[in-house]
Amino acid sequence: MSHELRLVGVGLEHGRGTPWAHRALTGIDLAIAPGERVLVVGTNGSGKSTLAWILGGLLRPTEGMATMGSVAIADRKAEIGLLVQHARLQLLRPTVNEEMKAFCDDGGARLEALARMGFSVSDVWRRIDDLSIGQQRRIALAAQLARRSPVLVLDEPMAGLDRRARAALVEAVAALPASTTVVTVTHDLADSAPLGDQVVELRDGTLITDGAAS
Amino acid sequence: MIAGLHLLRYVDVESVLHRADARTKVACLTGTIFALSFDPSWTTVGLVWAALVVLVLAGRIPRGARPRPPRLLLYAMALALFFGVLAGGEPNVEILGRPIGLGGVRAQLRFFGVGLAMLALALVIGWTTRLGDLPAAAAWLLAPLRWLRLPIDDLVAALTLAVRCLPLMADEIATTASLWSLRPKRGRDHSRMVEAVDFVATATSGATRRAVELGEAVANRGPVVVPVRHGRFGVADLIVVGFTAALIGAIVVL
Repeated sequence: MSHELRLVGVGLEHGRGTPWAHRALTGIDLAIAPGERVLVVGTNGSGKSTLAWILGGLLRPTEGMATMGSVAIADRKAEIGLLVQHARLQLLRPTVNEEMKAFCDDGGARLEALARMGFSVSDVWRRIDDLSIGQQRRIALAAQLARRSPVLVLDEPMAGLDRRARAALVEAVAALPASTTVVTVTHDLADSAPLGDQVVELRDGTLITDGAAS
Repeated sequence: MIAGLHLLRYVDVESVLHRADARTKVACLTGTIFALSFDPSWTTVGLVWAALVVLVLAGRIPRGARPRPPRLLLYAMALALFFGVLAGGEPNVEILGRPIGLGGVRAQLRFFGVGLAMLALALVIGWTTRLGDLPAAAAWLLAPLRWLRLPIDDLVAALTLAVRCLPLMADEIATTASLWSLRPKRGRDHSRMVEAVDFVATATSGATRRAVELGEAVANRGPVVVPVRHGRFGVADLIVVGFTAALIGAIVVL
């Protein structure tokens, strides 16, 4: 099945029907072909993370359609790797080794993914809670790399990473198969620019630009 | 999940309950819960639920604010009722030729009635009171206990931070649950049961981290409670106190 991501008139209102309802996205039209590397930029509160969650299949839009191929993204979320801002929340196993095993059976691929993110063999026995926030983020990304999902959605992947880890991340994304779609959501275009060749900008929940990255 | 309970989420409308002082509402809530705990009969539980309907109407709480309990809670309640059936007890009824004792179920239902009424009362307070007013109200209400040399300032500082942490924790648990659904479904040692345990462990880890942060914040901040100038009590407070007094009086008499 095709891995083309397509959003047509997508809008999302959090807490719809409650007194606390607030709109995060309005009328988003976006098409991402397989293998494209797209940067979604915007300021805090512009709806970037909500868009990442829709592209990651965690949220269904309240208006419009979000599809991968011809199926709703939320129904194909098993094929998407999503890295969220608070990486600790997605590391559910107690050790690095067990977390990696939850995503990939191939020991060699696990070690390769860990090495790409700057970890050594001895790190596999470390406890998740003993890692720094930046290390936890790198483990979450290594798990997604080992999983080899056809679509990767990265929500603020550079946050909490030092310069070396940022470089490793850029290198790891560049080394992904050309068919892998990568959507990176970020507020910092300067740091994340190497992760994408197309930039779309969100402002107040609306897509305002769409074009090639400078 | 837990966010569906809408705990401590302020509903921004104008009503007599919103106008009442947080101190009045917290004191009335404490009094009602104490009275109900003292005599949790079917009559008093029914009385409190009737009062809750009046409070929701008086607070002009929209229908959309109604809590959506997590499925886990409903499963736990169903399990508790099952054990209630196993416990048996009077009265007995005959189902398919076998005598079944409903005493345990009845006791369990009454327990649910009391527990959920207390939760609903707390929800009403949350819907009608700004979050920041609650610790100040607690500080004012607990002030007399300083005479007993109890660490009220520490307690209020912890309460302030806990109240701020609660929505964040609810958010984290909801996020963890969503992310859990994204993980590959695998056989062998990655059974759903193991993953459920992992989920609980992660949620606990998140809560523990929040608790540590809270402890450090209290330690850094020290036992200092920012003095707050409370407003004057008004007619709305009088109405709330009158209503609560009538409710507690009815609980005691009945």
